[in-house]
Amino acid sequence: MAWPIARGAAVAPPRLPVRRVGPVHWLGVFTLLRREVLAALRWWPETVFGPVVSTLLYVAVFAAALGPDFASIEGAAAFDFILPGVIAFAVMSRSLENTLFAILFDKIEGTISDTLMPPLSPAEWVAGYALSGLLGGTVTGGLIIAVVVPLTGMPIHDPLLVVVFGAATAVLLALIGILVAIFCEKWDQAAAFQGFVFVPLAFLSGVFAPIDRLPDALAGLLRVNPLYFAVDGFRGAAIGIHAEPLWLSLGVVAVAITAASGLSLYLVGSGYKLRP
Amino acid sequence: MTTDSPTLLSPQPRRIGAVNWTGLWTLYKKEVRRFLKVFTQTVAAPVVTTLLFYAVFALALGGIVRQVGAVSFMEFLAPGLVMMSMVQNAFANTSSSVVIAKVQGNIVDVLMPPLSSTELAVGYVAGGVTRGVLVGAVTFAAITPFVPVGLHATAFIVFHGIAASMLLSLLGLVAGIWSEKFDHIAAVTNFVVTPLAFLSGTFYTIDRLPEDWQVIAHLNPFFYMIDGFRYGFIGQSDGTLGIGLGVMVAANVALWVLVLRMLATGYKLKA
Repeated sequence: MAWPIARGAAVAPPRLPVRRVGPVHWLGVFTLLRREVLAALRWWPETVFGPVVSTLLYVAVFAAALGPDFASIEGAAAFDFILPGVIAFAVMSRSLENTLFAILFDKIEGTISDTLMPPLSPAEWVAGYALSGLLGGTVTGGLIIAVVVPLTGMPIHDPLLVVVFGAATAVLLALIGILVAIFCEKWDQAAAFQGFVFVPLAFLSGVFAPIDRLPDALAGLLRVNPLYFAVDGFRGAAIGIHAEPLWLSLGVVAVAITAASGLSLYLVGSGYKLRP
Repeated sequence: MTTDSPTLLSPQPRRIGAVNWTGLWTLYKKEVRRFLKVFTQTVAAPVVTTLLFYAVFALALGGIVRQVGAVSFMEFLAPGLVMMSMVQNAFANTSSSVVIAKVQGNIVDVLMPPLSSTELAVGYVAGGVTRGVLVGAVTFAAITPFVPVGLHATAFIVFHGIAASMLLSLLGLVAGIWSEKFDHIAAVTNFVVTPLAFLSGTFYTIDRLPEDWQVIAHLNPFFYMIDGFRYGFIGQSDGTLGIGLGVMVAANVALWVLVLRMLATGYKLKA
Protein backbone atom coordinates (compact mmCIF):
# COMPACT_ATOMS: atom_id res chain seq x y z
CA MET A 1 0.00 0.00 0.00
CA ALA A 2 1.36 3.37 -0.91
CA TRP A 3 1.59 6.03 1.75
CA PRO A 4 -1.15 8.60 1.34
CA ILE A 5 0.78 11.81 0.91
CA ALA A 6 -1.26 14.95 1.11
CA ARG A 7 -0.06 17.36 -1.54
CA GLY A 8 1.66 20.38 -0.03
CA ALA A 9 1.35 19.12 3.52
CA ALA A 10 4.61 18.63 5.45
CA VAL A 11 4.96 15.09 6.77
CA ALA A 12 6.99 14.80 9.92
CA PRO A 13 9.46 11.92 9.88
CA PRO A 14 8.58 9.19 12.34
CA ARG A 15 10.18 9.78 15.72
CA LEU A 16 12.48 7.00 16.86
CA PRO A 17 12.92 6.61 20.59
CA VAL A 18 16.39 7.60 21.80
CA ARG A 19 18.16 4.75 23.56
CA ARG A 20 19.14 5.83 27.03
CA VAL A 21 22.37 4.60 28.55
CA GLY A 22 22.54 4.93 32.35
CA PRO A 23 25.69 5.78 34.31
CA VAL A 24 27.02 2.33 33.44
CA HIS A 25 26.47 0.88 29.98
CA TRP A 26 25.76 -2.64 31.27
CA LEU A 27 24.60 -3.98 27.93
CA GLY A 28 27.79 -2.75 26.24
CA VAL A 29 30.10 -4.26 28.86
CA PHE A 30 28.22 -7.55 28.68
CA THR A 31 28.37 -7.56 24.88
CA LEU A 32 32.12 -6.95 24.87
CA LEU A 33 32.59 -9.68 27.49
CA ARG A 34 30.47 -12.11 25.47
CA ARG A 35 32.39 -11.30 22.28
CA GLU A 36 35.73 -11.97 23.97
CA VAL A 37 34.61 -15.19 25.68
CA LEU A 38 33.17 -16.55 22.43
CA ALA A 39 36.36 -15.58 20.58
CA ALA A 40 38.49 -17.46 23.14
CA LEU A 41 36.19 -20.49 23.03
CA ARG A 42 36.44 -20.53 19.26
CA TRP A 43 40.04 -21.70 19.79
CA TRP A 44 39.14 -24.14 22.56
CA PRO A 45 41.80 -26.76 21.78
CA GLU A 46 44.49 -24.21 22.56
CA THR A 47 42.69 -22.01 25.08
CA VAL A 48 40.89 -24.63 27.18
CA PHE A 49 42.48 -27.98 26.49
CA GLY A 50 46.07 -26.79 25.92
CA PRO A 51 46.77 -25.40 29.42
CA VAL A 52 45.36 -28.56 31.03
CA VAL A 53 47.63 -30.79 28.93
CA SER A 54 50.77 -28.70 29.47
CA THR A 55 50.16 -28.52 33.23
CA LEU A 56 49.71 -32.30 33.39
CA LEU A 57 52.98 -32.64 31.44
CA TYR A 58 54.85 -30.54 34.01
CA VAL A 59 53.36 -32.60 36.83
CA ALA A 60 54.19 -35.92 35.12
CA VAL A 61 57.74 -34.87 34.29
CA PHE A 62 58.47 -33.71 37.84
CA ALA A 63 56.96 -36.86 39.33
CA ALA A 64 59.06 -39.05 37.01
CA ALA A 65 62.22 -37.03 37.58
CA LEU A 66 61.82 -37.45 41.34
CA GLY A 67 61.41 -41.19 40.76
CA PRO A 68 62.22 -43.24 43.86
CA ASP A 69 63.10 -40.03 45.74
CA PHE A 70 59.41 -39.25 45.46
CA ALA A 71 58.79 -41.30 48.59
CA SER A 72 61.30 -39.33 50.67
CA ILE A 73 60.12 -36.44 52.80
CA GLU A 74 61.99 -33.81 50.81
CA GLY A 75 60.87 -35.42 47.52
CA ALA A 76 57.22 -35.33 48.55
CA ALA A 77 57.65 -31.76 49.78
CA ALA A 78 59.13 -30.70 46.44
CA PHE A 79 56.23 -32.30 44.57
CA ASP A 80 53.61 -30.68 46.82
CA PHE A 81 55.37 -27.37 46.28
CA ILE A 82 55.30 -27.67 42.49
CA LEU A 83 51.58 -28.53 42.15
CA PRO A 84 50.04 -25.17 43.16
CA GLY A 85 52.92 -23.42 41.37
CA VAL A 86 52.14 -24.90 37.97
CA ILE A 87 48.40 -24.29 38.44
CA ALA A 88 49.07 -20.62 39.26
CA PHE A 89 51.35 -20.41 36.22
CA ALA A 90 48.62 -21.82 33.96
CA VAL A 91 46.10 -19.28 35.31
CA MET A 92 48.56 -16.42 34.80
CA SER A 93 49.52 -17.31 31.24
CA ARG A 94 45.92 -17.96 30.15
CA SER A 95 44.63 -14.62 31.49
CA LEU A 96 47.57 -12.77 29.98
CA GLU A 97 47.10 -14.36 26.56
CA ASN A 98 43.36 -13.87 26.67
CA THR A 99 43.50 -10.07 26.62
CA LEU A 100 46.92 -9.65 24.97
CA PHE A 101 46.13 -11.75 21.89
CA ALA A 102 42.55 -10.48 21.54
CA ILE A 103 43.42 -6.77 21.60
CA LEU A 104 46.63 -7.06 19.57
CA PHE A 105 44.87 -9.15 16.91
CA ASP A 106 42.18 -6.48 16.57
CA LYS A 107 44.81 -3.73 16.49
CA ILE A 108 46.82 -5.39 13.73
CA GLU A 109 43.77 -6.35 11.69
CA GLY A 110 42.23 -2.90 12.13
CA THR A 111 39.08 -4.31 13.73
CA ILE A 112 39.83 -2.64 17.07
CA SER A 113 37.41 0.10 15.98
CA ASP A 114 34.61 -2.45 16.53
CA THR A 115 35.19 -2.11 20.26
CA LEU A 116 36.32 1.54 20.30
CA MET A 117 33.38 2.94 18.32
CA PRO A 118 30.48 1.77 20.50
CA PRO A 119 29.47 4.06 23.38
CA LEU A 120 31.77 2.47 25.95
CA SER A 121 33.72 4.57 28.44
CA PRO A 122 37.39 3.66 29.02
CA ALA A 123 36.38 2.05 32.32
CA GLU A 124 33.71 -0.06 30.64
CA TRP A 125 36.14 -1.04 27.87
CA VAL A 126 38.84 -2.11 30.33
CA ALA A 127 36.29 -3.88 32.53
CA GLY A 128 34.91 -5.91 29.62
CA TYR A 129 38.36 -7.15 28.64
CA ALA A 130 39.54 -7.70 32.22
CA LEU A 131 36.42 -9.76 32.96
CA SER A 132 37.05 -11.92 29.90
CA GLY A 133 40.60 -12.55 31.15
CA LEU A 134 39.24 -13.30 34.62
CA LEU A 135 36.84 -15.87 33.17
CA GLY A 136 39.53 -17.41 30.97
CA GLY A 137 42.01 -17.74 33.82
CA THR A 138 39.60 -19.04 36.44
CA VAL A 139 37.93 -21.55 34.10
CA THR A 140 41.38 -22.85 33.13
CA GLY A 141 42.46 -23.02 36.78
CA GLY A 142 39.21 -24.73 37.79
CA LEU A 143 39.57 -27.36 35.07
CA ILE A 144 43.17 -28.07 35.99
CA ILE A 145 42.29 -28.38 39.68
CA ALA A 146 39.43 -30.73 38.75
CA VAL A 147 41.91 -32.98 36.89
CA VAL A 148 45.01 -32.66 39.10
CA VAL A 149 43.41 -33.01 42.53
CA PRO A 150 41.93 -36.51 41.93
CA LEU A 151 45.15 -37.65 40.19
CA THR A 152 47.60 -36.53 42.85
CA GLY A 153 45.46 -36.43 45.97
CA MET A 154 46.51 -32.81 46.48
CA PRO A 155 44.56 -31.48 49.46
CA ILE A 156 42.92 -28.08 49.14
CA HIS A 157 43.78 -26.17 52.29
CA ASP A 158 41.32 -23.27 51.96
CA PRO A 159 38.97 -23.44 48.93
CA LEU A 160 37.63 -19.91 49.41
CA LEU A 161 41.10 -18.37 49.50
CA VAL A 162 42.09 -20.43 46.46
CA VAL A 163 39.23 -18.79 44.56
CA VAL A 164 40.15 -15.33 45.87
CA PHE A 165 43.85 -15.64 44.94
CA GLY A 166 43.07 -17.36 41.65
CA ALA A 167 40.64 -14.61 40.65
CA ALA A 168 42.96 -11.79 41.78
CA THR A 169 45.87 -13.32 39.87
CA ALA A 170 43.72 -13.71 36.75
CA VAL A 171 42.54 -10.08 36.88
CA LEU A 172 46.09 -8.78 37.40
CA LEU A 173 47.45 -10.71 34.42
CA ALA A 174 44.45 -9.76 32.25
CA LEU A 175 45.20 -6.08 32.98
CA ILE A 176 48.89 -6.61 32.19
CA GLY A 177 47.76 -8.22 28.93
CA ILE A 178 45.72 -5.11 28.10
CA LEU A 179 48.70 -2.84 28.82
CA VAL A 180 51.15 -4.93 26.78
CA ALA A 181 48.68 -5.09 23.88
CA ILE A 182 48.36 -1.30 23.93
CA PHE A 183 52.14 -0.81 23.80
CA CYS A 184 52.80 -3.50 21.17
CA GLU A 185 52.50 -2.90 17.46
CA LYS A 186 53.61 -6.29 16.13
CA TRP A 187 53.31 -9.95 17.06
CA ASP A 188 57.10 -10.12 17.48
CA GLN A 189 56.92 -7.67 20.34
CA ALA A 190 54.21 -9.65 22.11
CA ALA A 191 56.19 -12.86 21.62
CA ALA A 192 59.30 -11.15 22.98
CA PHE A 193 57.37 -9.97 26.06
CA GLN A 194 56.15 -13.49 26.72
CA GLY A 195 59.44 -15.24 26.04
CA PHE A 196 61.86 -12.79 27.60
CA VAL A 197 59.82 -11.11 30.36
CA PHE A 198 56.72 -13.00 31.45
CA VAL A 199 57.87 -16.64 31.38
CA PRO A 200 61.29 -16.01 33.01
CA LEU A 201 59.74 -13.77 35.66
CA ALA A 202 56.95 -16.24 36.42
CA PHE A 203 59.17 -19.34 36.40
CA LEU A 204 61.64 -17.76 38.78
CA SER A 205 58.96 -16.24 41.04
CA GLY A 206 58.57 -19.42 43.03
CA VAL A 207 56.51 -21.49 40.61
CA PHE A 208 58.78 -24.54 40.82
CA ALA A 209 61.14 -23.86 43.70
CA PRO A 210 61.39 -21.55 46.70
CA ILE A 211 62.80 -18.21 45.67
CA ASP A 212 65.52 -18.30 48.36
CA ARG A 213 67.38 -21.04 46.45
CA LEU A 214 68.33 -18.35 43.93
CA PRO A 215 71.38 -16.11 44.42
CA ASP A 216 70.57 -13.46 47.05
CA ALA A 217 70.72 -10.48 44.68
CA LEU A 218 68.34 -12.08 42.19
CA ALA A 219 65.99 -13.31 44.92
CA GLY A 220 65.89 -9.79 46.37
CA LEU A 221 64.94 -8.35 42.99
CA LEU A 222 62.26 -10.97 42.39
CA ARG A 223 60.75 -10.33 45.85
CA VAL A 224 59.46 -6.95 44.74
CA ASN A 225 57.45 -8.31 41.80
CA PRO A 226 53.71 -8.92 42.24
CA LEU A 227 53.83 -12.32 40.46
CA TYR A 228 55.90 -13.64 43.36
CA PHE A 229 53.20 -12.63 45.83
CA ALA A 230 50.44 -13.99 43.60
CA VAL A 231 52.15 -17.41 43.37
CA ASP A 232 53.08 -17.47 47.06
CA GLY A 233 49.56 -16.49 48.12
CA PHE A 234 47.96 -19.04 45.82
CA ARG A 235 50.23 -21.75 47.23
CA GLY A 236 49.42 -20.66 50.77
CA ALA A 237 45.71 -20.91 50.03
CA ALA A 238 46.10 -24.27 48.25
CA ILE A 239 48.47 -26.23 50.51
CA GLY A 240 48.96 -23.94 53.50
CA ILE A 241 52.67 -23.33 52.87
CA HIS A 242 53.73 -19.77 52.19
CA ALA A 243 56.81 -17.60 52.64
CA GLU A 244 54.97 -14.28 53.09
CA PRO A 245 51.89 -13.54 55.21
CA LEU A 246 48.73 -14.10 53.14
CA TRP A 247 47.35 -10.63 53.91
CA LEU A 248 50.55 -9.09 52.56
CA SER A 249 50.36 -11.17 49.35
CA LEU A 250 46.73 -10.24 48.82
CA GLY A 251 47.54 -6.59 49.56
CA VAL A 252 50.41 -6.48 47.06
CA VAL A 253 48.27 -8.10 44.36
CA ALA A 254 45.44 -5.65 45.11
CA VAL A 255 47.82 -2.68 44.84
CA ALA A 256 49.19 -4.05 41.57
CA ILE A 257 45.65 -4.46 40.21
CA THR A 258 44.82 -0.89 41.19
CA ALA A 259 47.97 0.46 39.54
CA ALA A 260 47.49 -1.58 36.36
CA SER A 261 43.83 -0.58 36.03
CA GLY A 262 44.70 3.07 36.69
CA LEU A 263 47.34 3.05 33.97
CA SER A 264 45.12 1.24 31.48
CA LEU A 265 42.21 3.63 32.16
CA TYR A 266 44.55 6.56 31.53
CA LEU A 267 45.98 5.06 28.33
CA VAL A 268 42.61 3.99 26.92
CA GLY A 269 41.17 7.40 27.82
CA SER A 270 43.98 9.19 26.02
CA GLY A 271 43.69 6.83 23.05
CA TYR A 272 47.43 6.08 23.21
CA LYS A 273 48.36 3.71 20.33
CA LEU A 274 44.69 2.75 20.00
CA ARG A 275 43.03 5.74 18.35
CA PRO A 276 44.56 7.64 15.44
CA MET B 1 81.81 -12.94 -39.74
CA THR B 2 80.35 -9.51 -40.08
CA THR B 3 76.68 -10.19 -39.34
CA ASP B 4 75.37 -11.72 -36.19
CA SER B 5 73.56 -14.96 -36.71
CA PRO B 6 69.90 -14.65 -35.58
CA THR B 7 70.09 -17.97 -33.76
CA LEU B 8 72.70 -16.56 -31.38
CA LEU B 9 70.43 -13.66 -30.38
CA SER B 10 67.28 -15.64 -29.72
CA PRO B 11 66.78 -16.66 -26.07
CA GLN B 12 67.94 -20.11 -25.19
CA PRO B 13 65.98 -22.41 -22.84
CA ARG B 14 67.73 -22.86 -19.50
CA ARG B 15 69.07 -26.33 -19.23
CA ILE B 16 68.63 -28.08 -15.93
CA GLY B 17 70.70 -31.18 -15.31
CA ALA B 18 69.68 -34.13 -13.19
CA VAL B 19 69.41 -31.86 -10.16
CA ASN B 20 68.21 -28.25 -10.19
CA TRP B 21 71.02 -27.01 -7.97
CA THR B 22 70.14 -23.31 -8.36
CA GLY B 23 66.52 -23.97 -7.42
CA LEU B 24 67.43 -26.15 -4.48
CA TRP B 25 69.95 -23.60 -3.17
CA THR B 26 67.41 -20.79 -3.61
CA LEU B 27 64.74 -22.68 -1.67
CA TYR B 28 67.23 -23.47 1.09
CA LYS B 29 68.34 -19.82 1.29
CA LYS B 30 64.71 -18.72 1.47
CA GLU B 31 64.03 -21.17 4.32
CA VAL B 32 67.08 -20.04 6.31
CA ARG B 33 66.44 -16.31 5.79
CA ARG B 34 62.82 -16.82 6.81
CA PHE B 35 63.75 -17.86 10.34
CA LEU B 36 66.82 -15.63 10.66
CA LYS B 37 64.69 -12.56 9.92
CA VAL B 38 62.91 -13.13 13.24
CA PHE B 39 65.82 -14.74 15.07
CA THR B 40 64.70 -13.37 18.45
CA GLN B 41 61.65 -15.63 18.18
CA THR B 42 63.25 -18.54 16.35
CA VAL B 43 66.68 -18.77 17.97
CA ALA B 44 67.00 -16.51 21.03
CA ALA B 45 63.61 -17.31 22.60
CA PRO B 46 64.04 -21.13 22.44
CA VAL B 47 67.52 -20.79 23.96
CA VAL B 48 66.20 -18.66 26.83
CA THR B 49 63.32 -21.08 27.44
CA THR B 50 65.69 -24.05 27.54
CA LEU B 51 68.02 -22.29 29.97
CA LEU B 52 65.01 -21.48 32.13
CA PHE B 53 63.95 -25.10 32.24
CA TYR B 54 67.50 -25.98 33.19
CA ALA B 55 67.54 -23.42 35.99
CA VAL B 56 64.12 -24.43 37.25
CA PHE B 57 64.96 -28.13 37.40
CA ALA B 58 68.26 -27.37 39.07
CA LEU B 59 66.47 -25.31 41.72
CA ALA B 60 63.55 -27.65 42.27
CA LEU B 61 65.31 -31.02 42.13
CA GLY B 62 69.03 -30.32 42.34
CA GLY B 63 69.15 -30.92 46.07
CA ILE B 64 67.05 -34.09 45.92
CA VAL B 65 67.98 -36.00 42.77
CA ARG B 66 71.76 -35.76 43.00
CA GLN B 67 72.99 -38.63 40.87
CA VAL B 68 71.79 -40.42 37.78
CA GLY B 69 74.07 -43.42 37.36
CA ALA B 70 77.64 -42.16 37.39
CA VAL B 71 76.90 -38.52 36.53
CA SER B 72 75.24 -35.64 38.35
CA PHE B 73 71.59 -34.86 37.59
CA MET B 74 72.56 -31.57 35.98
CA GLU B 75 75.05 -33.25 33.67
CA PHE B 76 72.40 -35.83 32.79
CA LEU B 77 69.80 -33.17 32.06
CA ALA B 78 71.84 -30.88 29.78
CA PRO B 79 72.11 -33.06 26.61
CA GLY B 80 68.41 -33.96 26.77
CA LEU B 81 67.39 -30.31 26.97
CA VAL B 82 69.66 -29.43 24.05
CA MET B 83 68.09 -32.22 21.99
CA MET B 84 64.57 -31.17 22.99
CA SER B 85 65.14 -27.62 21.80
CA MET B 86 66.68 -28.91 18.55
CA VAL B 87 63.78 -31.15 17.60
CA GLN B 88 61.07 -28.70 18.63
CA ASN B 89 62.63 -25.99 16.46
CA ALA B 90 63.26 -28.29 13.50
CA PHE B 91 59.58 -29.22 13.61
CA ALA B 92 58.44 -25.63 14.05
CA ASN B 93 60.50 -24.45 11.07
CA THR B 94 59.13 -26.72 8.34
CA SER B 95 55.58 -26.92 9.69
CA SER B 96 55.15 -23.16 10.10
CA SER B 97 56.80 -22.41 6.75
CA VAL B 98 54.42 -24.68 4.84
CA VAL B 99 51.27 -23.81 6.74
CA ILE B 100 51.82 -20.03 6.58
CA ALA B 101 52.49 -20.27 2.83
CA LYS B 102 49.35 -22.37 2.39
CA VAL B 103 47.11 -20.06 4.43
CA GLN B 104 48.47 -16.93 2.73
CA GLY B 105 48.33 -18.57 -0.69
CA ASN B 106 51.97 -17.97 -1.59
CA ILE B 107 52.75 -21.70 -1.57
CA VAL B 108 52.51 -21.41 -5.39
CA ASP B 109 55.81 -19.52 -5.30
CA VAL B 110 57.41 -22.78 -4.22
CA LEU B 111 55.26 -25.19 -6.24
CA MET B 112 55.49 -23.38 -9.59
CA PRO B 113 59.28 -23.30 -10.14
CA PRO B 114 60.87 -26.33 -11.80
CA LEU B 115 61.62 -28.19 -8.57
CA SER B 116 60.99 -31.90 -8.27
CA SER B 117 59.28 -33.25 -5.17
CA THR B 118 62.63 -34.57 -3.95
CA GLU B 119 64.23 -31.16 -4.37
CA LEU B 120 61.32 -29.51 -2.54
CA ALA B 121 61.60 -31.94 0.35
CA VAL B 122 65.40 -31.62 0.55
CA GLY B 123 65.22 -27.81 0.51
CA TYR B 124 62.64 -27.64 3.31
CA VAL B 125 64.27 -30.34 5.43
CA ALA B 126 67.71 -28.74 5.07
CA GLY B 127 66.20 -25.48 6.37
CA GLY B 128 64.66 -27.26 9.35
CA VAL B 129 67.89 -29.11 10.16
CA THR B 130 69.82 -25.83 9.96
CA ARG B 131 67.53 -24.19 12.51
CA GLY B 132 67.55 -27.25 14.78
CA VAL B 133 71.33 -27.56 14.77
CA LEU B 134 71.80 -23.80 15.22
CA VAL B 135 69.45 -23.65 18.21
CA GLY B 136 71.09 -26.78 19.67
CA ALA B 137 74.60 -25.36 19.27
CA VAL B 138 73.69 -22.01 20.85
CA THR B 139 71.87 -23.74 23.72
CA PHE B 140 74.84 -26.01 24.31
CA ALA B 141 77.23 -23.07 24.28
CA ALA B 142 75.02 -21.28 26.80
CA ILE B 143 74.76 -24.27 29.15
CA THR B 144 78.45 -25.28 29.25
CA PRO B 145 79.59 -22.37 31.45
CA PHE B 146 77.20 -23.63 34.17
CA VAL B 147 77.85 -27.35 33.86
CA PRO B 148 80.96 -28.72 32.16
CA VAL B 149 79.54 -31.43 29.91
CA GLY B 150 82.14 -33.86 28.59
CA LEU B 151 82.30 -35.31 25.10
CA HIS B 152 82.31 -39.09 25.12
CA ALA B 153 81.49 -40.20 21.57
CA THR B 154 81.30 -37.34 19.06
CA ALA B 155 79.97 -39.61 16.32
CA PHE B 156 76.83 -40.35 18.36
CA ILE B 157 76.30 -36.63 18.99
CA VAL B 158 76.58 -35.77 15.32
CA PHE B 159 74.50 -38.71 14.08
CA HIS B 160 71.66 -38.33 16.57
CA GLY B 161 71.70 -34.54 16.34
CA ILE B 162 71.27 -34.58 12.58
CA ALA B 163 69.03 -37.65 12.38
CA ALA B 164 66.67 -36.24 15.01
CA SER B 165 66.51 -32.77 13.44
CA MET B 166 65.86 -34.39 10.06
CA LEU B 167 63.16 -36.64 11.48
CA LEU B 168 61.31 -33.72 13.05
CA SER B 169 61.76 -31.54 9.96
CA LEU B 170 60.13 -34.32 7.94
CA LEU B 171 57.37 -34.66 10.52
CA GLY B 172 56.90 -30.88 10.32
CA LEU B 173 56.53 -31.12 6.55
CA VAL B 174 53.93 -33.88 6.90
CA ALA B 175 52.02 -31.88 9.52
CA GLY B 176 52.30 -28.65 7.49
CA ILE B 177 51.02 -30.31 4.33
CA TRP B 178 48.17 -31.96 6.21
CA SER B 179 47.10 -28.79 8.10
CA GLU B 180 44.62 -26.44 6.58
CA LYS B 181 44.59 -23.87 9.38
CA PHE B 182 46.86 -22.64 12.14
CA ASP B 183 44.60 -24.49 14.61
CA HIS B 184 45.61 -27.81 13.11
CA ILE B 185 49.33 -27.20 13.34
CA ALA B 186 48.98 -25.80 16.86
CA ALA B 187 47.10 -28.94 17.86
CA VAL B 188 49.83 -31.22 16.45
CA THR B 189 52.48 -29.18 18.28
CA ASN B 190 50.64 -29.07 21.61
CA PHE B 191 49.17 -32.54 21.69
CA VAL B 192 51.73 -34.66 19.80
CA VAL B 193 55.20 -33.14 19.55
CA THR B 194 55.46 -31.42 22.96
CA PRO B 195 54.13 -34.39 24.99
CA LEU B 196 56.38 -36.86 23.11
CA ALA B 197 59.37 -34.56 23.70
CA PHE B 198 58.56 -34.00 27.40
CA LEU B 199 57.94 -37.67 28.11
CA SER B 200 61.00 -38.88 26.21
CA GLY B 201 63.31 -39.27 29.15
CA THR B 202 64.87 -35.82 28.91
CA PHE B 203 64.19 -35.16 32.56
CA TYR B 204 64.54 -38.65 34.02
CA THR B 205 66.04 -42.05 33.29
CA ILE B 206 63.25 -44.41 32.47
CA ASP B 207 64.51 -46.96 35.04
CA ARG B 208 62.86 -44.66 37.52
CA LEU B 209 59.44 -45.25 36.00
CA PRO B 210 57.10 -48.10 37.02
CA GLU B 211 57.48 -51.28 34.85
CA ASP B 212 54.45 -50.71 32.59
CA TRP B 213 55.50 -47.15 31.88
CA GLN B 214 58.99 -48.31 30.94
CA VAL B 215 57.48 -50.42 28.15
CA ILE B 216 55.46 -47.44 26.89
CA ALA B 217 58.50 -45.18 27.09
CA HIS B 218 60.41 -47.56 24.81
CA LEU B 219 57.74 -47.10 22.14
CA ASN B 220 58.42 -43.36 21.91
CA PRO B 221 60.87 -42.60 19.07
CA PHE B 222 61.90 -39.43 20.92
CA PHE B 223 63.32 -41.66 23.63
CA TYR B 224 65.94 -43.11 21.24
CA MET B 225 67.08 -39.80 19.83
CA ILE B 226 67.64 -38.33 23.28
CA ASP B 227 69.16 -41.50 24.69
CA GLY B 228 71.73 -41.86 21.88
CA PHE B 229 72.51 -38.13 21.87
CA ARG B 230 73.04 -38.15 25.62
CA TYR B 231 75.25 -41.23 25.36
CA GLY B 232 77.56 -39.16 23.15
CA PHE B 233 78.06 -36.73 26.05
CA ILE B 234 77.92 -38.75 29.25
CA GLY B 235 78.77 -42.27 28.04
CA GLN B 236 75.78 -44.00 29.63
CA SER B 237 72.48 -44.91 28.05
CA ASP B 238 69.08 -46.23 29.14
CA GLY B 239 68.33 -48.30 26.06
CA THR B 240 70.37 -50.40 23.65
CA LEU B 241 72.40 -48.08 21.41
CA GLY B 242 72.12 -50.33 18.36
CA ILE B 243 68.33 -50.35 18.56
CA GLY B 244 68.42 -46.56 18.87
CA LEU B 245 70.44 -46.21 15.67
CA GLY B 246 68.09 -48.64 13.90
CA VAL B 247 64.97 -46.79 15.04
CA MET B 248 66.39 -43.44 13.90
CA VAL B 249 67.30 -44.77 10.44
CA ALA B 250 64.00 -46.63 10.00
CA ALA B 251 61.88 -43.67 11.14
CA ASN B 252 63.75 -41.30 8.83
CA VAL B 253 63.37 -43.64 5.83
CA ALA B 254 59.66 -44.10 6.51
CA LEU B 255 59.03 -40.35 6.75
CA TRP B 256 61.11 -39.60 3.64
CA VAL B 257 58.96 -42.06 1.69
CA LEU B 258 55.78 -40.51 3.09
CA VAL B 259 56.88 -36.93 2.38
CA LEU B 260 58.00 -37.69 -1.18
CA ARG B 261 54.72 -39.48 -1.83
CA MET B 262 52.71 -36.52 -0.46
CA LEU B 263 54.65 -34.01 -2.56
CA ALA B 264 54.51 -36.15 -5.71
CA THR B 265 50.74 -36.61 -5.51
CA GLY B 266 50.17 -32.98 -4.54
CA TYR B 267 48.14 -34.05 -1.48
CA LYS B 268 46.46 -30.94 -0.03
CA LEU B 269 48.95 -28.77 -1.93
CA LYS B 270 47.93 -28.77 -5.58
CA ALA B 271 44.40 -28.47 -6.88
